[in-house]
Amino acid sequence: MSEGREVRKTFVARADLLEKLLNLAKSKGVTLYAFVNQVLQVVLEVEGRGMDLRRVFEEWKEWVRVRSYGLALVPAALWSEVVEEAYGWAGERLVEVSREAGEWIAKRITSSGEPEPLKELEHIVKLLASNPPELLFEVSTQGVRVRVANPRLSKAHAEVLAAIIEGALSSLGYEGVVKEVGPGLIRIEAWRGGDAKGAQG
Amino acid sequence: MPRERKGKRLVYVSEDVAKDLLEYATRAGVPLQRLVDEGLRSVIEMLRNGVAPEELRTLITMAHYQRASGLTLVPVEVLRHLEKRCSQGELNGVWREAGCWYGKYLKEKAENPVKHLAELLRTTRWDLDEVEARDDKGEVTFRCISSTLTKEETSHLRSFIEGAMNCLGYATASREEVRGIVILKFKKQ
Repeated sequence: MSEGREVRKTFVARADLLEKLLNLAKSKGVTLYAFVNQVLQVVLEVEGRGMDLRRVFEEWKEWVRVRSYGLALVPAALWSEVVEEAYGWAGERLVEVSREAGEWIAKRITSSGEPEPLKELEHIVKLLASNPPELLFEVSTQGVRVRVANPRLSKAHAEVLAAIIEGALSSLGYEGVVKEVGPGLIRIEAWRGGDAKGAQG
Repeated sequence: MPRERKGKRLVYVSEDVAKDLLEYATRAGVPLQRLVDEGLRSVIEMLRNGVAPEELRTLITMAHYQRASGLTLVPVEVLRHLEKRCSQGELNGVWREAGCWYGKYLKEKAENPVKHLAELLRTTRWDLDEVEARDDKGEVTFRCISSTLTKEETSHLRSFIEGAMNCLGYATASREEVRGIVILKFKKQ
């Protein structure tokens, strides 16, 4: 049906928003009417799924950002199966590769000029650990203490994640790592300049 | 031209959209004005930040499935390493099984499962440059292209799609696979 024959209704909307929509519609070469309809249908789809459009947008920004850190979305069940199996026969190498991935992530953070690299790393760890109920990144002048507690973390997963954190911290100039890794729990302490003993005291 | 009154303007929308908005606002107990203004504002922000209008739906689908069907973020390099070390036959089986799970899930949840599967492929692990799912009267053709996938990863992608489509009730009619390119044809069973 052509636009001219459609029954149209009017809505009140903020003039400044409509002005912006009009400009966007012009740049896409479509009419304001067609564009507003398209946009409102998206709004309805989101609301109908019980989602929040603002949150969807934040998640999208997040997704674009984490892709630049070499992260990808995969089915959790598949990741779990592959990690568990590989840990059984190549645990050491798996930890080594994970550590390298952590180093790479940290280099990516620092090279992008992030003003607070540890904050960014904390954020990435939070995502990799599937939003754990407990995540602590305690930074002091001497070093950093990390604690991740998530009952869903298996031993293999905890080892992989701990190696990523350790690799990243090392790349950020923290050494002398003391760590405790087990099912559901990771605790890492690292110090600048590798003086673990001194910093512990 | 929309009519203006005190920072507000009247804007025309189609009768169907107006009806749906009004129904939704009433059902959800949300003021219609707020629903329209907040919705417009969020979409404008997304478009201004580089989301193409045609990407909006893909993006929403991704956010929805990420929450509902257990996708997780992993470092690609670690995954690649594991994939290299595992037996290819076994891994294809694991990807196929994962695909089957999504096929079953989409069958229950999505109005157009094939289209949603294509959207899922665009946003997950594969880093595809092109994804096309053409449905021609029960004959579906999937065409995926990536400049970065290895031969093994291409094979996993093929297994994932076949797993999903087979569990959606489609039989594999033909398959073409070379590094970075998968073309699969399915027939409704």
